[in-house]
Amino acid sequence: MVSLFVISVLAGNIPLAFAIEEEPIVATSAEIQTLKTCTSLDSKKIRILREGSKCHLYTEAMAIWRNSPTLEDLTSKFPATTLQTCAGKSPAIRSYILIRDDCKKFHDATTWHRWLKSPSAPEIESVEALNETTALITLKPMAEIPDAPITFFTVTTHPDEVSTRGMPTAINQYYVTGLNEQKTYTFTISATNADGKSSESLESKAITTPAIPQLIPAGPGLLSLITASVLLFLFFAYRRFSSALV
Amino acid sequence: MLDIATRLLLVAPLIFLTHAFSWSLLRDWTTTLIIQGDALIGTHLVRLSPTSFSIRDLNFQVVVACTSIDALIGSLPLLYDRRKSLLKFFGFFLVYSIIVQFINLSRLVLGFFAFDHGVSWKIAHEIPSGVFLFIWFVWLLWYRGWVSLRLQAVKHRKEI
Repeated sequence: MVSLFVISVLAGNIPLAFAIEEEPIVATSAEIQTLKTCTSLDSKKIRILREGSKCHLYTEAMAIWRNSPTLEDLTSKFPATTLQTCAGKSPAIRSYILIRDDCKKFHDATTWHRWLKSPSAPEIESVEALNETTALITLKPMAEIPDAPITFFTVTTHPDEVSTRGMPTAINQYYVTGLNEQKTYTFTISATNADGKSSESLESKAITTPAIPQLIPAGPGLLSLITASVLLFLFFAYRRFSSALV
Repeated sequence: MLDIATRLLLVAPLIFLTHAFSWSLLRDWTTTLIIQGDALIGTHLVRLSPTSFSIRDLNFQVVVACTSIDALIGSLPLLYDRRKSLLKFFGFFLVYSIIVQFINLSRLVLGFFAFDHGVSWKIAHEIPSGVFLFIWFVWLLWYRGWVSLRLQAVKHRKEI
């Protein structure tokens, strides 16, 4: 039954999402002002985010929808998109809200709105080598996209061309690990949200990781063993010599 | 004689067995105690990791041998006394281990103190380590009654 529900998200007549197979979700309130959804980055399927839960890390992106278009929505230069949900009229099924394009007679239809906006390219403020395997990238603060927050950043390490995904710390710092010692690196970074991926940032300045420090074992070395052996030899030789004198 | 030889033969395999494990926690504690001990006498060691620290622009790693756990476990066959109950022996070994650890840590702390004050690594650490091992081994022989530390006793035995 649920598998029959089909989402139709229209943005300039371009369908953004496809059929979903999702069990009915319990809505948190009879009058939902905003709706959070998770969009699969691979299949573009959308599911409603349950209260208190999160989208799957690095494979889904969150989007926040409003149940009526604001003046900003209507006048914005950014393309907008809509999503229709159906909720049961009957008190018994009132708590269920489902994504579909055509509601039944016993459903209340709600149209949700949000802007479509991919993140702008991040800007790297500074980069430094923290140790032989880790670099710290500091980003310039990015303009917030309230309807589709940034899901993750993708940092590409050059010349290895290794990409890693993650979120920066609260102060826009991003740690890149797994580097090699005494090697020069540059980095580019891009941001991804529910509406797509930004273009790559400009390449950072080059950094060179330091050499792995040489560690001296602080345990007894060969000289210690030689010292102990010589002392033992002297000890027993002295005892033998002394007893021979008697 | 055969008994002593058997015990001595067991020492090396036990030491090798000890080195098969990383003893990370013990090395971490030893590093902490060396750093704290040296801080008490005015030498500042900079901790780099749970088991390494820096002094005089050199980085040192506290390895298994630094903790003396290899020598402690290696000394088990030499110490074990079949006339004592296992519980009594365990109690004795516990006290013995604490004393050995205390002496070993004091040696390390003083060694790094001396090294920080310009003494060469060989004199500050390597030779004292050898002396420590020598004294420890002689003490083990004396404790088991396999050697006497008094010259008179040797003389007396010769007379007999």
